Amino acid sequence: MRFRVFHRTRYLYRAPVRDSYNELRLRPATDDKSRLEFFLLKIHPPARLQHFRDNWFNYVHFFEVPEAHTSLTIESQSTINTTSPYQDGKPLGVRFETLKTDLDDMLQPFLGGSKYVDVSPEVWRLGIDIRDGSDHVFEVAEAVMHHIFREWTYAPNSTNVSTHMNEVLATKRGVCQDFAHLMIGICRSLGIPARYVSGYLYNGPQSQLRGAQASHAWCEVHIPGKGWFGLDPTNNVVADERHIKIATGRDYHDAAPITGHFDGPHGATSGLQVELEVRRMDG
Amino acid sequence: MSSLFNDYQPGSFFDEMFSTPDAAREHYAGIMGSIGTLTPPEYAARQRTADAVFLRQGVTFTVYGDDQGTERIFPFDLMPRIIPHKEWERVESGLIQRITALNMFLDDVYHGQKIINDGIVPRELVESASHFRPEFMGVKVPHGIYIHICGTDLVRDGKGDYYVLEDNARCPSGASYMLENRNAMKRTFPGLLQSLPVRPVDAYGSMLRETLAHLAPPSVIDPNIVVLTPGVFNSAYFEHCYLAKQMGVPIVEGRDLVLKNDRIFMRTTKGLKQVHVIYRRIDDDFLDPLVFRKDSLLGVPGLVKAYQSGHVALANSIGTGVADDKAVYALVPKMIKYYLDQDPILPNVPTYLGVDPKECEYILANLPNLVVKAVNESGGYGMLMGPHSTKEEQEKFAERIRANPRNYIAQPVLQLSRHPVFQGDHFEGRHIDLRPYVLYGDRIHVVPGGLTRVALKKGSLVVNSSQGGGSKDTWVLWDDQE
Repeated sequence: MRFRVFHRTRYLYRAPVRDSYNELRLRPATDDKSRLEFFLLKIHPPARLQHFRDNWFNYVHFFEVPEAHTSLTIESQSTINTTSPYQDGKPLGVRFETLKTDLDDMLQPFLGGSKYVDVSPEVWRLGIDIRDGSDHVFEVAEAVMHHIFREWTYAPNSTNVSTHMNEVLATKRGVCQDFAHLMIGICRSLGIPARYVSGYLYNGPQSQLRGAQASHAWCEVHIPGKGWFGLDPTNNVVADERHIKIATGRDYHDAAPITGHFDGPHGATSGLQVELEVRRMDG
Repeated sequence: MSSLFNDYQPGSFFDEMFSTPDAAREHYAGIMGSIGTLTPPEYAARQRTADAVFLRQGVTFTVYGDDQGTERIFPFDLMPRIIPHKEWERVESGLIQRITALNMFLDDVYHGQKIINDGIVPRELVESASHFRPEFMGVKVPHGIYIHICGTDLVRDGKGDYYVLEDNARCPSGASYMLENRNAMKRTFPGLLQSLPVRPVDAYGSMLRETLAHLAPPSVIDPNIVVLTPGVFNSAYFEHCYLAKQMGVPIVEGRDLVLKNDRIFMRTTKGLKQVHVIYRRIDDDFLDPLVFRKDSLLGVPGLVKAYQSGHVALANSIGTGVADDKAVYALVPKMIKYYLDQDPILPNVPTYLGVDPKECEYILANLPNLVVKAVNESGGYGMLMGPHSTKEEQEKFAERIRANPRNYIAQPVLQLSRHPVFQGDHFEGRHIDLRPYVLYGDRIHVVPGGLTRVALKKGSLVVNSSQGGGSKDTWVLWDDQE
C-alpha cells in the first residue's frame, strides 16, 4: 500500500524559551518491506537540521534553536510504499527450544528489563498462564496479544508517555504505548526477544482501528530463523502493510518520536497541537 | 504514423514527444490516436480556432521597451506538452523541497541569520542583493511563510533530466495563461480531455484563494481578500483581472486603499471596508512610498506599517527577492542541505558567480560559450546568449561585468529539450521550458502542470513572452494504477 503522511507537532510556550535541543525519530524506516519515496522535515523557527544513526539503527534528526522563541513547529511529510511482512504467512510452528540454540548477541538487549519494561515475577506468572504449556513461539506471542486486548481497557489519557509497564500491569488500562510495553514485558519473561516499534497506522475510511489519530506503537517479536514480526495488541491484529514503521528499540525511550529540552521558566509549555493525516494513495 | 508528423525531425535534441523520428513516446499515445490523426489542413484549421479563442478572450500582454507599446496576443501552440505521472511526482517532490528551503532561508535571513553565521551563505551576498530589505529584519510574518506563490522555471537537458533554471519568488506571472491554454484546448477539441487521463488545473483559482485566506489574521472568519494591481498599463494587467475573477475577489489599485488606525480599508460605493489579505502584484519598491520608493504612486502609504502590525497580510511577503536573486540561486542546494538535511531532488544548472573573482575570470574568458544574466533582471532582459552573440555584444557585456561583477552570473548553454510546434502547415522542433506554480498555505500544493513556454524563433533558447515566446497547454497524466 502507498501512503502519504503529514505530521505536524506544535509546542506553544507561555514565556519565551531558549537553548532548545531536540532529537526526532520521524523518518519512516526503509527495509525490504517498505520503501520511503519522499520525506521532508521542516522546523520552525528555522534551524540547521542534521542526523545520526542510533544504536538501533534508527534515523535520528537533531537540531537546536538557541534564540528565544515562543513556539516550535516540527512538520514531516512522507510518501511510503509498504508490503506486509506476513505475505508468506505467519511463522508458525517454531519451537521454544530454538530460542536457546539460535541466540545471538544482537538480541540480548531485547530479553531483559529496560527503562519502561520490567521482567518481574508478576509478569512472568502472567506469561506462564497465557503460554498454557504451548511450545510454539509465535503462537504464544499471539496469545499474549489476544490476552492484553481482551483483559486490558483502552483508555486515552489514563496514562502518559512516561508510564511504566508495572503501572499498566496493575491498573489494567492504557493506550497503545502501554500495551506494547506490557506485551514486550510478558514476551521477554518467557524468553521471547521483543522490541518496541513506533510508527503510524493507516485507519481506513470505515475502519475502527485505534491509535490512528496520533502516532501509534506496537511490538515486534523475534522468531528464530525467521526474523522480527509485528503484533499490535491495541487492535489485536498482526502488524501488516497498514502499519508504517518509523523507529524500533527496547521501549518507548529508544524510539520516542520527539525528545528534547529547553531553557525556560517552570511550566513554560502552554500548549501542544498535533495534526496527523495518513492518506492512502492507491486503491 | 499520421501525415501530420511525416516530415518531423526531432534532430539531435531531447524531443519531448518523439524518441525517434517514427516513434512517439508512450505517454503521447492518447494524443497520437486523436489529434495526431488529423491531416495538416484540418489541424491548421483547429489552430486558427484556438487563436480566435485567445483574441476573443483578450488574453494579452504588453512588451516593454517596444515603441509599438500595444498589447499582444501570447502565441499559443495547440499541440500539448505531456508529462507522465512518475516523472511529475519527482518534479513535484523537488519543488516542495525547494520552496520549503527557500522559505526557511527567508525566515532565517530576516531573523536569526543562522545560515550566515554558520558560514554557509556569505553575508555580503545577502546584503548586496538588491531585493534584500534590511528594514524587514525581525518582522514576524503570518505562519513564518514568505513565498506563498512561487513560479519555478524548469528546463530539461539533452538527456531529458530536469534542472531548476530560476525561482520566481516575488510576483511570478503566467498562471492565467496556464488556465486559458487549458480552456482553449477544451474549446478547440471538445470532449478530448475527458477521454484522456489528464489532471485538471482549473482548481487553481480556489487553491489560490484558500492559500491567501490562510494568511488572514486568526480572528477573521471571512477574510476580505483583494488583488492589488499597478493598473491597466502593467504588462500583466490581464492576468491580475483574470485571477481576481477566478477567485471572486475585488481587484484594486493603490489609490483605492487607505490606511486608518494601522488597518487597510478599501473605498467602496458603500463606504470603507477593511481588507485582510492583499495579493499584491506590485514590486516591493512601489508598495509603500513611506518606506520604499518615495515617488511611487502605485502603492499605499502606510501599508508596510499595517503589515507589520499584523492587521493585513501580504502575498508574497516583503523582501522575498533575496531568495530569487540569481547569485543567491547558486546556493539553494546548500540551503536544502542546511535546513532539510537532504540533497536537492531537482538540481541547479551549474552557475558561475561574477562576485567570485576566480569564477568571474572564467566567465570573461568563456563568454562565447556561456549564458550571462544580470542578477536582478527577469523576463529575459539584460542577458547575453554567448553562442548567438556578436563579438561586439560580448565586449559590451565584458565591460559591464568588470564594472559590477556582483550583478552578473553565467551558466553553460544547456541543450534545452524540444517539442513539436506547428509552423503554418507542418511541425518543427522548438525549445521549451516549464513553469509550474507552487502554492504555500497551510500545506504546499503544486498545480499539476504549469505553463510550458516555447521559444518560437528557430534555434532560439529564450522562451520569455517578452522576447517573442509562446506557450502550450501542459498535461500531467494520472497514474494508471490509481
